Amino acid sequence: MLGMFCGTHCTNNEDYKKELKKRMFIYAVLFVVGCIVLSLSLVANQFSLSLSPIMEGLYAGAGVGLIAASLLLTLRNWRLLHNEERLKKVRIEASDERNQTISLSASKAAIFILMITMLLTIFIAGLWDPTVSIVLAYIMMLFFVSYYIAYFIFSKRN
Amino acid sequence: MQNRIQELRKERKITQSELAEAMEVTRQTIISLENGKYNASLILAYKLAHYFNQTIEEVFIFDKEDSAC
Repeated sequence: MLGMFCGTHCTNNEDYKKELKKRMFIYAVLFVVGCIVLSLSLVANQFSLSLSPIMEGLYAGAGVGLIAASLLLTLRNWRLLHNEERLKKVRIEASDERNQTISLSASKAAIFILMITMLLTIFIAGLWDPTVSIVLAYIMMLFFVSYYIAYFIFSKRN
Repeated sequence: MQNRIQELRKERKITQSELAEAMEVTRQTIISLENGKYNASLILAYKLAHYFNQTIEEVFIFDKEDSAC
């Protein structure tokens, strides 16, 4: 199954239904965030916030994207919750160990490419705008700190 | 790692889809296992062996080269 966050360890439909319902709550939060971001792009200039046209477009695009994605995913999950046969098929695809191994390998490759791209951007962008380099360096640092914290937590659990 | 999944499945006249359904994995996983492209986890190996009424050693043939990096 294509999707970094679609995997599950549920072995029956009832547990998977509970998991889908939890995900629907996350989609509701994303919907609200999308609405806030979209509203910000629409009303920012009426208040003291002066957004550049580029940022207005970016906020509007991100807002619409979040709203659309959350609505589509909620609809998908809602339909799954009302179709046992389809639910089982999707659960098996999501819990399939080979799919999860592929997803893990794909995530590793994507993270490696992302890190290399960020590192190159830090060096190159710094020639014109040091702020970009500093922000990206902090994000990279946050990634590695998060990784080591997560590693420590999971090593205690297993 | 080699395995006898295809042989055991054909002996029992079971389709890949039926085996996949019984193991609760996708048909593609069964295909990859039979082709030797994918090595099953311990849990899946146990489930397969149990399904065919065999021991894990009888279904999966461990090769010393498999442990090499």
